[in-house]
Amino acid sequence: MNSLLSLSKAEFYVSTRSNASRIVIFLPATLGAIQLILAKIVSIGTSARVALTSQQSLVSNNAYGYFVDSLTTGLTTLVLLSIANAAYGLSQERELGTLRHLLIRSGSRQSIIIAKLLHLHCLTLFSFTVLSFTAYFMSASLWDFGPVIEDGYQLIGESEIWSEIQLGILLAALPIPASICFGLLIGIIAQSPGQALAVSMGLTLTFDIFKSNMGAGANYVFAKFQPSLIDYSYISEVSRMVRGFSDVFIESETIAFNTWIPIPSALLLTALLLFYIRKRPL
Amino acid sequence: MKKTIEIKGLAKHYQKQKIVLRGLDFSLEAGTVHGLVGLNGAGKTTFLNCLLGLQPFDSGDIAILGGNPDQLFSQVGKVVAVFDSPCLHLNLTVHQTLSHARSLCVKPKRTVNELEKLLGLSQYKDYRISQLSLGNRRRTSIAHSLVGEPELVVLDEPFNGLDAAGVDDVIELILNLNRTENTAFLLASHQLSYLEQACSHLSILHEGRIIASDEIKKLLQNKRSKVTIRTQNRSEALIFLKDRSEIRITETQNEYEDSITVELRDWRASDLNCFLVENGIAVDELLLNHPTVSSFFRDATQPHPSNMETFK
Repeated sequence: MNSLLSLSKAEFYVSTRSNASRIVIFLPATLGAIQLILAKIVSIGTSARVALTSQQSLVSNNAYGYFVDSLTTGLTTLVLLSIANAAYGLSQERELGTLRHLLIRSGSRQSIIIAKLLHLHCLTLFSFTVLSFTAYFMSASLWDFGPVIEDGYQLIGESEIWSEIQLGILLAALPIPASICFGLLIGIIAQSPGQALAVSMGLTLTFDIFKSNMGAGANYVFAKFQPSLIDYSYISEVSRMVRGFSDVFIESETIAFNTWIPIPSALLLTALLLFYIRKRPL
Repeated sequence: MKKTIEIKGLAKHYQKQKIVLRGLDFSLEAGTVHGLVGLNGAGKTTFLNCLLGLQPFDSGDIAILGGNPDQLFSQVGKVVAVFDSPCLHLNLTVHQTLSHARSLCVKPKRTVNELEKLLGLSQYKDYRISQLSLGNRRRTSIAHSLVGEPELVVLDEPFNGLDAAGVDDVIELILNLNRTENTAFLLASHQLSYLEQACSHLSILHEGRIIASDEIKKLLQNKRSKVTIRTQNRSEALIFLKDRSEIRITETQNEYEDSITVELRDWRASDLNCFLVENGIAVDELLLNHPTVSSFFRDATQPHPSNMETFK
C-alpha cells in the first residue's frame, strides 16, 4: 500500500509538470468552448435571417442543445486524448527507462501499472470536470437554459432534460476506463512511443469506421459506446432530444449493452495488462 | 565475507537461439568496488538487466542483498542503478528531477541542494534534462541514485559523456562513498583505465561466462611485464633471444618493423639490454609495459595468434 502511495505521488509529481497532462486537461474544454462560440455566431446569423423572412425557427434555440453538443465534442476529444496519452506515455517511459527506477526502488510491476491507472483516471476525471464547467458556463452566458417549448406547449421539462443529460454522460463515461486500459496495453506491447501512438489511434479510428458494418457484433466492443467521430453514443441522441426532436429512439437493448459491456471490458483489459507486464523487459 | 550479490548458473537466451549468458557465476562482496568488463555484445547489459529484475532469465539463481531481483523494491532503496542512458524525465528540471527522486525514497539521506553540490549541478538546477549535455545528464543520473543510503550502486557505463574532470569527480565520489559509507559498487564499463583507478575487484564477462574474477592486484600479480625492443638488427636479435629461458618472445610483427616484444620472466629490462649489447646488437629503444587491466583484458579475451610459430 505504501509503495502504491509513493508511486502515485511520483506519477502526479511528473504529471503536474508535463505538457501532455495540460493538453489532456484543457484541450477538450477549449474545443468545446470554440464550438459554442462558432455555434453562437451561426445562430446570430440564423436569427437575423429568420427575422428578415419571418420564418419560424425549426430547432429550439435552448442552451441545453449547445451544452450537450459541447460536451460531446469535448468527450470525443477526451477519449482520443486519454487513449493516446496512456499508450504514448507508458511507451515513452519504457523507452526513456524511467520505469526502471520505479521498479528497482518503489514498487512491483503490477503496482506501477495500478498507480498509472489511478493517475490516468484522475486526469480524465479532472479534464471532464473542467470540460463540464466550461461547457455549462459558456452555454449559460451565450443562451438561456430552459424547458423545450414549441407552439406554446412544453415538450420537455428541465428536470427531464437534466436526467437525460446525466444518463447520456454516464453512458458516455462508462467506456472511458476500458479506453485507458486499452491505451496502456498498447503502450506496454509497442516497441516505441511512435508505434504505440500509431497503433492505438489506428485501431480506435478503424473500429470507429467499421463499427456500423459489424452489426450486432459491435455491441460487444466497449468502444462502440464512447463518443467518437462517427458517433453512436447515447449522448449524441440526447443532443437531439433536448432540441425537441420527437424521432429520438434508442433501443433498450443498446442501453443494456452500453451499461454492461464497458466495465467487464475494462477489468479484462486490466487483467491482460497485469499479466503482460509480468514478463515484459523494462 | 558477506556477499552483496551472489549468482549461480545464470542463463539467458533471446529469440532464434541467441544464447547470451551461459551458466554465469558471479559474486560481489559487501563494501567493494567491482568492475565488470566485456567485449561489445558480451552480455553485460543483459547481465545487469537480469540482476536488477528488469528482464526475466531462463535459469539460475540470483541473490541481491539476500533477496530476489523481482523484489528489489522491497529493499526500499538499498539497491539503486545508473543506466547507460540517463533514464530521466526530459521535461523536468534538474532540481525537480532530484525532488522526484526524493519522493521515491523512503528514507532520503541527502537534500536536493546537497546532491546538486555533490555532483556540481548547482548552476544547472533550473535547466530541463532535455537541455543538458550528456555529461551533465550522467551527473544528474548519479545524483538521482544517491538520494538515499544505498548499500549497492550498479552503474552501467558511468563515464560515458563525462569530461576528464567529470571522470575524476565521479571516481572520487565512488571511492569516497565506498570508504565512508561502505557502499558497494558494480561498474560495467569499457573504460578500462578508469576502472583500474576506481575498482578493487574486476570480473571479465566473455562469451556468456565470467572468465576471470578477483581482486585486481591478484589478477595482475601473475602477469609479467613486457618489453618492446626497437633495433636495426632485428633478425640477429631474434636469433639471440629465441632460446633464452629468461624471456618469452610474444610478438615479432607489430606496427614498427624494427621491433620485437618479449615477456620478462627472470630478467629485468636492464638485464635484457645488457644481453643484447654484449652480443653486439645496438638497441634504439626499450619500452617497458607493466601489466594493466587493459592488457590483462586483451590477453583474456583476444588470444594472440601464435607468433612463435611464425618465427620458427
